[in-house]
Amino acid sequence: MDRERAWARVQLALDERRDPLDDAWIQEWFAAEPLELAAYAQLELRLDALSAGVSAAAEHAPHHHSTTTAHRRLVAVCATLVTTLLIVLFAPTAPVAGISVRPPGQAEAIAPRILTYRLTATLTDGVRNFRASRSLTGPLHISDSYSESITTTADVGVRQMRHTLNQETNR
Amino acid sequence: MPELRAYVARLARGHEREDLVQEVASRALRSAQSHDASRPLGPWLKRTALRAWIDTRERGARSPRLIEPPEVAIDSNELRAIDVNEEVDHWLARLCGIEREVIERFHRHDQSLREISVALEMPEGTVKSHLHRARRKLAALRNGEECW
Repeated sequence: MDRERAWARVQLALDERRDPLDDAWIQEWFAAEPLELAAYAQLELRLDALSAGVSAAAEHAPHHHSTTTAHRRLVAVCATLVTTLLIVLFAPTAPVAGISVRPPGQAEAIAPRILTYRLTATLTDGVRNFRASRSLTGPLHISDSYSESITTTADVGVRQMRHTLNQETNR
Repeated sequence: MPELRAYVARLARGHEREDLVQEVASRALRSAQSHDASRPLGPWLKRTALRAWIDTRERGARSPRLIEPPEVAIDSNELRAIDVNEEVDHWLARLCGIEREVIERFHRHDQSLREISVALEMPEGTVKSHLHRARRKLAALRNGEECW
Protein backbone atom coordinates (compact mmCIF):
# COMPACT_ATOMS: atom_id res chain seq x y z
CA MET A 1 0.00 0.00 0.00
CA ASP A 2 2.78 2.37 0.97
CA ARG A 3 4.63 1.40 -2.17
CA GLU A 4 1.73 2.43 -4.39
CA ARG A 5 1.30 5.62 -2.44
CA ALA A 6 4.99 6.46 -2.60
CA TRP A 7 5.26 5.92 -6.32
CA ALA A 8 2.06 7.88 -6.87
CA ARG A 9 3.70 10.80 -5.06
CA VAL A 10 6.87 10.39 -7.10
CA GLN A 11 4.83 10.37 -10.30
CA LEU A 12 2.85 13.42 -9.20
CA ALA A 13 6.05 15.35 -8.44
CA LEU A 14 7.50 14.41 -11.81
CA ASP A 15 4.25 15.38 -13.55
CA GLU A 16 4.55 18.79 -11.90
CA ARG A 17 8.27 18.92 -12.74
CA ARG A 18 9.22 19.01 -9.07
CA ASP A 19 12.00 17.07 -7.40
CA PRO A 20 10.33 14.08 -5.69
CA LEU A 21 13.14 14.02 -3.14
CA ASP A 22 11.88 17.31 -1.72
CA ASP A 23 8.84 15.50 -0.36
CA ALA A 24 9.42 14.69 3.32
CA TRP A 25 7.15 11.66 3.17
CA ILE A 26 9.06 10.27 0.21
CA GLN A 27 12.34 10.96 1.98
CA GLU A 28 11.28 8.77 4.87
CA TRP A 29 9.93 6.09 2.62
CA PHE A 30 13.07 5.88 0.50
CA ALA A 31 15.22 5.67 3.63
CA ALA A 32 13.10 2.73 4.73
CA GLU A 33 13.17 1.13 1.28
CA PRO A 34 16.61 1.52 -0.28
CA LEU A 35 15.69 -0.89 -3.07
CA GLU A 36 12.93 1.48 -4.10
CA LEU A 37 15.41 4.33 -3.93
CA ALA A 38 17.65 2.37 -6.28
CA ALA A 39 14.73 1.99 -8.68
CA TYR A 40 14.05 5.71 -8.44
CA ALA A 41 17.74 6.44 -9.05
CA GLN A 42 17.59 4.35 -12.20
CA LEU A 43 14.47 6.14 -13.35
CA GLU A 44 16.02 9.53 -12.71
CA LEU A 45 19.19 8.59 -14.55
CA ARG A 46 17.19 7.48 -17.57
CA LEU A 47 14.96 10.53 -17.57
CA ASP A 48 18.02 12.75 -17.39
CA ALA A 49 19.57 10.91 -20.30
CA LEU A 50 16.33 11.17 -22.22
CA SER A 51 16.02 14.89 -21.75
CA ALA A 52 19.68 15.55 -22.44
CA GLY A 53 20.42 13.01 -25.11
CA VAL A 54 20.01 13.16 -28.82
CA SER A 55 18.24 10.04 -29.91
CA ALA A 56 19.00 8.24 -33.09
CA ALA A 57 15.53 6.76 -33.02
CA ALA A 58 13.93 9.52 -35.04
CA GLU A 59 11.38 7.13 -36.43
CA HIS A 60 10.06 6.80 -32.91
CA ALA A 61 9.91 10.52 -32.39
CA PRO A 62 6.55 12.20 -31.93
CA HIS A 63 4.78 13.21 -35.11
CA HIS A 64 5.10 16.94 -34.62
CA HIS A 65 8.79 16.45 -34.08
CA SER A 66 9.12 14.42 -37.24
CA THR A 67 7.43 17.18 -39.14
CA THR A 68 9.64 19.89 -37.78
CA THR A 69 12.66 17.66 -38.22
CA ALA A 70 11.76 17.05 -41.84
CA HIS A 71 11.42 20.76 -42.32
CA ARG A 72 14.74 21.38 -40.64
CA ARG A 73 16.31 18.70 -42.77
CA LEU A 74 15.07 20.34 -45.92
CA VAL A 75 16.52 23.62 -44.76
CA ALA A 76 19.69 21.88 -43.71
CA VAL A 77 20.12 20.10 -47.02
CA CYS A 78 19.61 23.39 -48.82
CA ALA A 79 22.08 24.95 -46.47
CA THR A 80 24.49 22.15 -47.23
CA LEU A 81 24.28 22.83 -50.92
CA VAL A 82 24.62 26.55 -50.36
CA THR A 83 27.50 26.20 -47.96
CA THR A 84 29.28 23.71 -50.13
CA LEU A 85 32.25 25.72 -51.08
CA LEU A 86 34.25 24.71 -54.07
CA ILE A 87 37.05 27.05 -54.84
CA VAL A 88 38.75 26.39 -58.07
CA LEU A 89 41.77 28.44 -58.76
CA PHE A 90 43.12 28.50 -62.22
CA ALA A 91 46.60 29.66 -62.97
CA PRO A 92 47.40 31.65 -59.89
CA THR A 93 49.94 34.40 -59.87
CA ALA A 94 52.67 32.15 -58.62
CA PRO A 95 53.83 29.47 -61.01
CA VAL A 96 52.59 26.04 -60.18
CA ALA A 97 54.40 22.88 -61.02
CA GLY A 98 52.97 21.27 -64.09
CA ILE A 99 51.70 24.47 -65.59
CA SER A 100 54.10 26.41 -67.65
CA VAL A 101 53.86 30.15 -67.59
CA ARG A 102 53.41 31.37 -71.05
CA PRO A 103 54.93 34.57 -72.16
CA PRO A 104 52.58 37.48 -72.70
CA GLY A 105 50.96 37.44 -76.05
CA GLN A 106 50.78 33.70 -76.30
CA ALA A 107 47.65 33.36 -74.33
CA GLU A 108 45.71 30.23 -75.18
CA ALA A 109 43.37 27.83 -73.60
CA ILE A 110 44.78 25.69 -70.82
CA ALA A 111 43.17 22.73 -69.24
CA PRO A 112 41.44 23.71 -66.02
CA ARG A 113 43.00 22.12 -63.01
CA ILE A 114 41.96 22.20 -59.43
CA LEU A 115 44.83 23.45 -57.41
CA THR A 116 43.18 23.66 -54.08
CA TYR A 117 39.74 23.28 -52.72
CA ARG A 118 37.95 23.02 -49.49
CA LEU A 119 34.58 21.35 -49.24
CA THR A 120 32.50 21.71 -46.13
CA ALA A 121 29.08 20.27 -45.56
CA THR A 122 27.27 20.95 -42.35
CA LEU A 123 23.90 19.58 -41.43
CA THR A 124 22.39 20.63 -38.14
CA ASP A 125 18.75 20.22 -37.42
CA GLY A 126 18.64 19.92 -33.68
CA VAL A 127 18.60 16.17 -33.88
CA ARG A 128 21.46 15.50 -36.17
CA ASN A 129 24.78 17.09 -36.52
CA PHE A 130 26.77 16.06 -39.52
CA ARG A 131 29.89 17.73 -40.63
CA ALA A 132 32.35 16.79 -43.28
CA SER A 133 35.23 18.77 -44.57
CA ARG A 134 38.10 18.10 -46.82
CA SER A 135 40.84 19.96 -48.48
CA LEU A 136 43.11 18.86 -51.25
CA THR A 137 46.05 18.27 -49.02
CA GLY A 138 44.45 17.49 -45.71
CA PRO A 139 42.67 14.39 -44.50
CA LEU A 140 38.93 13.97 -44.71
CA HIS A 141 37.22 14.92 -41.48
CA ILE A 142 33.79 13.59 -40.82
CA SER A 143 31.74 13.75 -37.69
CA ASP A 144 28.20 12.56 -37.45
CA SER A 145 26.42 12.37 -34.14
CA TYR A 146 23.29 10.89 -35.65
CA SER A 147 23.03 7.35 -36.86
CA GLU A 148 19.94 7.39 -39.02
CA SER A 149 20.91 7.39 -42.61
CA ILE A 150 19.74 10.09 -44.91
CA THR A 151 20.20 9.69 -48.60
CA THR A 152 21.41 12.90 -50.02
CA THR A 153 22.36 13.27 -53.60
CA ALA A 154 24.28 16.21 -54.82
CA ASP A 155 25.15 16.62 -58.43
CA VAL A 156 28.03 18.85 -59.13
CA GLY A 157 28.31 19.89 -62.71
CA VAL A 158 31.74 20.61 -64.01
CA ARG A 159 31.91 22.95 -66.93
CA GLN A 160 34.59 22.94 -69.44
CA MET A 161 36.29 26.25 -68.92
CA ARG A 162 38.56 28.18 -71.07
CA HIS A 163 40.87 30.63 -69.58
CA THR A 164 42.77 33.22 -71.40
CA LEU A 165 45.78 34.77 -69.92
CA ASN A 166 45.61 38.46 -69.47
CA GLN A 167 48.75 39.99 -70.75
CA GLU A 168 48.75 42.67 -68.15
CA THR A 169 48.11 40.63 -65.09
CA ASN A 170 49.33 37.25 -66.32
CA ARG A 171 46.22 35.74 -64.84
CA MET B 1 24.21 15.68 12.98
CA PRO B 2 22.96 12.68 14.99
CA GLU B 3 19.71 12.89 13.09
CA LEU B 4 21.59 12.94 9.81
CA ARG B 5 23.68 9.94 10.89
CA ALA B 6 20.55 8.07 11.82
CA TYR B 7 19.00 8.87 8.47
CA VAL B 8 22.10 7.87 6.54
CA ALA B 9 22.35 4.67 8.58
CA ARG B 10 19.11 3.61 6.95
CA LEU B 11 20.55 4.16 3.50
CA ALA B 12 24.03 2.71 3.79
CA ARG B 13 25.87 0.06 5.72
CA GLY B 14 29.39 -0.32 7.11
CA HIS B 15 32.09 1.99 5.81
CA GLU B 16 29.74 3.30 3.13
CA ARG B 17 27.68 4.85 5.87
CA GLU B 18 30.56 6.99 7.16
CA ASP B 19 31.58 7.91 3.61
CA LEU B 20 28.04 9.01 2.91
CA VAL B 21 27.82 11.08 6.09
CA GLN B 22 31.03 12.85 5.11
CA GLU B 23 29.82 13.38 1.57
CA VAL B 24 26.53 14.85 2.79
CA ALA B 25 28.29 17.13 5.26
CA SER B 26 30.68 18.27 2.55
CA ARG B 27 27.86 18.97 0.10
CA ALA B 28 25.83 20.76 2.74
CA LEU B 29 28.73 23.06 3.52
CA ARG B 30 29.41 23.73 -0.15
CA SER B 31 25.81 24.55 -0.98
CA ALA B 32 24.70 26.05 2.32
CA GLN B 33 23.65 29.25 0.56
CA SER B 34 21.08 27.33 -1.46
CA HIS B 35 19.17 26.47 1.69
CA ASP B 36 16.21 28.69 2.41
CA ALA B 37 16.69 29.69 6.06
CA SER B 38 12.97 30.03 6.56
CA ARG B 39 12.52 26.32 5.93
CA PRO B 40 13.58 23.47 8.22
CA LEU B 41 17.06 22.10 7.74
CA GLY B 42 16.14 18.43 8.19
CA PRO B 43 14.37 17.80 4.87
CA TRP B 44 17.03 19.75 3.02
CA LEU B 45 19.75 17.58 4.53
CA LYS B 46 17.80 14.42 3.84
CA ARG B 47 17.37 15.44 0.24
CA THR B 48 21.11 16.10 0.06
CA ALA B 49 21.72 12.65 1.54
CA LEU B 50 19.47 11.00 -1.03
CA ARG B 51 21.18 12.88 -3.85
CA ALA B 52 24.58 11.87 -2.53
CA TRP B 53 23.43 8.26 -2.26
CA ILE B 54 22.19 8.29 -5.84
CA ASP B 55 25.34 9.93 -7.15
CA THR B 56 27.56 7.48 -5.27
CA ARG B 57 25.58 4.63 -6.71
CA GLU B 58 25.89 6.03 -10.24
CA ARG B 59 29.61 6.43 -9.81
CA GLY B 60 29.86 2.80 -8.78
CA ALA B 61 27.83 1.68 -11.75
CA ARG B 62 30.05 3.69 -14.06
CA SER B 63 33.38 2.53 -12.75
CA PRO B 64 35.87 2.36 -15.58
CA ARG B 65 36.49 -0.87 -17.39
CA LEU B 66 39.74 -1.77 -19.05
CA ILE B 67 39.36 -1.94 -22.79
CA GLU B 68 41.74 -2.04 -25.70
CA PRO B 69 43.05 1.44 -26.43
CA PRO B 70 41.64 2.80 -29.69
CA GLU B 71 44.00 2.92 -32.62
CA VAL B 72 43.01 6.44 -33.50
CA ALA B 73 42.34 9.34 -31.24
CA ILE B 74 38.61 9.78 -30.73
CA ASP B 75 36.94 12.61 -28.93
CA SER B 76 35.87 11.09 -25.64
CA ASN B 77 32.93 13.48 -25.32
CA GLU B 78 31.66 12.31 -28.67
CA LEU B 79 32.01 8.69 -27.60
CA ARG B 80 30.20 9.38 -24.35
CA ALA B 81 27.37 11.02 -26.25
CA ILE B 82 27.11 8.04 -28.56
CA ASP B 83 27.07 5.67 -25.58
CA VAL B 84 24.30 7.64 -23.90
CA ASN B 85 22.27 7.80 -27.09
CA GLU B 86 22.63 4.09 -27.68
CA GLU B 87 21.57 3.39 -24.14
CA VAL B 88 18.57 5.69 -24.40
CA ASP B 89 17.51 4.09 -27.68
CA HIS B 90 18.04 0.66 -26.17
CA TRP B 91 15.55 1.09 -23.38
CA LEU B 92 13.18 3.34 -25.29
CA ALA B 93 12.81 0.48 -27.73
CA ARG B 94 11.52 -1.62 -24.85
CA LEU B 95 8.60 0.66 -24.21
CA CYS B 96 5.40 0.23 -26.12
CA GLY B 97 4.69 2.75 -28.87
CA ILE B 98 2.32 5.11 -27.10
CA GLU B 99 4.36 5.04 -23.88
CA ARG B 100 7.49 5.91 -25.78
CA GLU B 101 5.77 8.75 -27.55
CA VAL B 102 4.28 10.20 -24.39
CA ILE B 103 7.45 9.99 -22.33
CA GLU B 104 9.52 11.53 -25.12
CA ARG B 105 7.08 14.37 -25.52
CA PHE B 106 7.01 15.05 -21.79
CA HIS B 107 10.63 14.56 -20.78
CA ARG B 108 12.53 15.20 -23.97
CA HIS B 109 10.45 17.91 -25.60
CA ASP B 110 9.10 19.42 -22.38
CA GLN B 111 5.52 19.35 -23.58
CA SER B 112 2.86 19.73 -20.93
CA LEU B 113 0.29 17.04 -20.26
CA ARG B 114 -2.31 19.27 -21.85
CA GLU B 115 -0.24 19.79 -24.99
CA ILE B 116 0.29 16.06 -25.30
CA SER B 117 -3.38 15.45 -24.72
CA VAL B 118 -4.29 17.80 -27.56
CA ALA B 119 -1.62 16.50 -29.90
CA LEU B 120 -2.53 12.87 -29.38
CA GLU B 121 -6.26 13.52 -29.14
CA MET B 122 -6.70 11.64 -25.91
CA PRO B 123 -7.86 12.69 -22.43
CA GLU B 124 -5.23 14.08 -20.09
CA GLY B 125 -5.88 11.23 -17.69
CA THR B 126 -5.02 8.71 -20.37
CA VAL B 127 -1.83 10.58 -21.17
CA LYS B 128 -0.93 10.43 -17.48
CA SER B 129 -1.61 6.72 -17.34
CA HIS B 130 0.72 6.05 -20.27
CA LEU B 131 3.34 8.36 -18.84
CA HIS B 132 3.22 6.73 -15.41
CA ARG B 133 3.37 3.27 -16.87
CA ALA B 134 6.38 4.26 -19.00
CA ARG B 135 8.16 5.64 -15.93
CA ARG B 136 7.43 2.51 -13.93
CA LYS B 137 8.97 0.45 -16.69
CA LEU B 138 12.05 2.65 -16.86
CA ALA B 139 12.45 2.28 -13.12
CA ALA B 140 12.15 -1.48 -13.34
CA LEU B 141 13.69 -2.39 -16.69
CA ARG B 142 16.95 -4.18 -16.59
CA ASN B 143 19.03 -5.18 -19.57
CA GLY B 144 17.36 -7.85 -21.61
CA GLU B 145 13.97 -7.26 -20.06
CA GLU B 146 11.17 -6.90 -22.57
CA CYS B 147 8.13 -4.70 -22.62
CA TRP B 148 5.20 -6.12 -20.69
